[in-house]
Amino acid sequence: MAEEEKKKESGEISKPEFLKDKGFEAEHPIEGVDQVYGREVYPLPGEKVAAFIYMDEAVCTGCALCTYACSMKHFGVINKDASNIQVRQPQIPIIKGIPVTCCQCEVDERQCEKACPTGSITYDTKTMHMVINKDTCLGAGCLQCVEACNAKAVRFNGIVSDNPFVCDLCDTENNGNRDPECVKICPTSAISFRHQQAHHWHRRSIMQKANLLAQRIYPITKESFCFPDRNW
Amino acid sequence: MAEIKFYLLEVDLTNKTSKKVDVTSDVKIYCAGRGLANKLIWDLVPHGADLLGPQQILHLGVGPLTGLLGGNVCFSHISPLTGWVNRAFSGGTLGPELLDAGYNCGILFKGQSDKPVYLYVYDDKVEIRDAADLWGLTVTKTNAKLQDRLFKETGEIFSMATIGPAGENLVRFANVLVDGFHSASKRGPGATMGSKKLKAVVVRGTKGRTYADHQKVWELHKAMTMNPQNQNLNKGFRLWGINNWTMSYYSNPSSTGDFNYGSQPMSGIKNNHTFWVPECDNYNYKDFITRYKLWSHACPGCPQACYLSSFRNLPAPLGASVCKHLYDNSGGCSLNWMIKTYEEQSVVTAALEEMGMDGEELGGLVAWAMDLYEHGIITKEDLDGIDLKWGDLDAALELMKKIAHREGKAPNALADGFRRAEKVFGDKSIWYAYEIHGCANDTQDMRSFRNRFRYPSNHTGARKGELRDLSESLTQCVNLQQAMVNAFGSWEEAVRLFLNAACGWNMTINDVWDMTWRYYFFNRAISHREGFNVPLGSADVLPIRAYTEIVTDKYGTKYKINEPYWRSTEWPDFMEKEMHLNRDGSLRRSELLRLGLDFVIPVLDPLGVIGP
Repeated sequence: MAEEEKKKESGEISKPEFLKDKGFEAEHPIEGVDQVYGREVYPLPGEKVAAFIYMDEAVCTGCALCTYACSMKHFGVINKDASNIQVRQPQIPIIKGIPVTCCQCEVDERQCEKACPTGSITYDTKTMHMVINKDTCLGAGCLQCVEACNAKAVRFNGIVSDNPFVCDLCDTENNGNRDPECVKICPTSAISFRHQQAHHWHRRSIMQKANLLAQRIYPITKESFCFPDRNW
Repeated sequence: MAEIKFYLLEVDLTNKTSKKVDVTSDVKIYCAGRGLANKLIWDLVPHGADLLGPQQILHLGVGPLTGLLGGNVCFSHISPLTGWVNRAFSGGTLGPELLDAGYNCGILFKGQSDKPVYLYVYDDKVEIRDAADLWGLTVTKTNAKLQDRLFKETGEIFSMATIGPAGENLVRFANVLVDGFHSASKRGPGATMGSKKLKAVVVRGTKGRTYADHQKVWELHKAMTMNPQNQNLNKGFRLWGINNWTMSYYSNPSSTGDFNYGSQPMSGIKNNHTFWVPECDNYNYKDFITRYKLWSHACPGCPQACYLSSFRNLPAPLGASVCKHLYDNSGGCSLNWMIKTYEEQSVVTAALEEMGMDGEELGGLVAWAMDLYEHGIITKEDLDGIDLKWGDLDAALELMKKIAHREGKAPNALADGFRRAEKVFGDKSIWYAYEIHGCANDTQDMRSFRNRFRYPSNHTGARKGELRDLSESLTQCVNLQQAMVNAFGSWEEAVRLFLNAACGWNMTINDVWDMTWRYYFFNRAISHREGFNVPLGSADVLPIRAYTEIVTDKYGTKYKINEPYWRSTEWPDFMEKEMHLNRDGSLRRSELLRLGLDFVIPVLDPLGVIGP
């Protein structure tokens, strides 16, 4: 006990301990799971493991803070359209926030890679994420990769960059140090960083996901809040 | 750090032209949103102009903090219901999209179109497009059609603000729905839009924000979002929606009183004749969410996600419906009409949002009509054949539809609000009308401690719009205020930090306060110019029933306002201490001079609303 107090006085106390001291701790702490700001933070996938940004569309509230974090990390500005992760709010008919980003597809599934005429967009097997070679990319005149991706996860915004951009798991230096900012900021933990198990679901575009979510509210149609019989 | 520039998109609907105007100098004095709208209305709208005429303007306001602290927009105009200045506030994606399109002071609509149009904004591309095929459609049908059309055209999902049939037919309390469900409700922005033949505004912006210091803004935002206390707060909002806040708020006896034991409905029952009936037990918000919650939704930039949508698929005749179920769009139309269950009531809410009408205003009006029908003051013939009995869902829905389309004598009169309808229904109807300044009682009853001051002191009509802080100018969501206090100690300090980082200004706390009071007094001055509280004291009244009719809550507590005490002590104290006005409710000349509002004095002096 005395040692702990000593540690506190000298400021050596760790963040989880500090938060625990302040009353911010999980009700059922899990072994090996750290806590930041009272939230559970699972260990990141190991260095040698392929991983991607996993999203729970049902939990996402559409606050778009992930896009702010992403654009700040990559371009130093707050711009939801200069972000590798995309969040839009379609009306189905009730409004729903839906996120989309690159799921670091398997080799056969990378439509962007196949479409690129100069081989500029590739999967770096050492750092384990997509990279775009700005020296060889044809830029705004081409955008074949943007067209090819079914999820529209490869993005382009001429205001911030001459080239398209894609999720690099926040390894901007391409040295294998993957540390996604969107995962850290998400207030609902709808975004997580996971070992790759890319299911077909993740290659869907926002509108395709919206159409699936809309099935939850059958028999409401896109044109009506209420059962069509009422004919308002 | 360089100061940023502020731009307003000015749209002339008469000539079908638009231009981008630099308003930076005005924003530094009045702030944006509702503050800038004060200046625009004062300068552009002549005194006494036709309330639904081409001289009126509509300002779709955003501010420097829109999309950071809530994604709100503030519709400012002269209300067609009261004739005074008005603001209607709504969340949604519209505000942040406007900022991203480069219009960080919003859109100003002038003039009147001769045919239905909608405004299309995609970054710098601004077009006034024909909306003949959209006119007459309900809100969802309009949005579905527009969303499909624009997605095919651009591959983008647009944010949209739409009016329904009520707005088109100039129902004086028609609202504007942002993204279909976020409602800018109070006192008729939809009617003003309808009078301009403007069916919708669709916006998509990709240019991003123009903050002075993005890094600093982001650090401040992270400090607020990741604050451990706020994470807990946000969790509550996500679970229970806005009612997380209201439940605790209304349960606190020191604030508004624990009517109906703090759950829905919080306000009066059966046209505000009582505070409790046994059916209150059917209305339990937790019960509702457990059964019908669909998902939580947030405005861009806000971690709280207080928007909670619900879905029910019930056996006929109720059928299926989705809606955003809040205390303020449903409380007034539930037991106030004696609609006895959530299931029935949620159909009303869905219909309200389809028609584009304010739930609180309509709630009061239909309850009044039911009361009048019971007492034989209006007849079945007046109501175009509707047998309007208490708690009859189908009759109420039919009446709503008729009000929105202005069909029949009584529905047409109701569409013009209380004061105009009283002239049609006769003097006998006045006692039954539970209204103030011609506006219905909001969901919170005006006999409670705070609201007995809030309602009469409000120069925009009823309780909502009374706020004397800068949130509507910034435009920042009031629901985030607690999170800001948790993270930065006080709301003003949080505003100061964010404003300085976002705009490159160098404001002190006193500057923030001055801007607050300048915007508030200016706003009040416009209402005075249009007739509010002239002669002085004429608006300081509660409905006669608030003084005379004793109402009882579940536990037998009786509520009635002691009029002599209210008039002699409570009311002048409130005016002086809370509102920074003279004890008789007049504006302080010294404050107007100090805040640089001297130009209103020559206009208001003859009206006798400026004191020492």
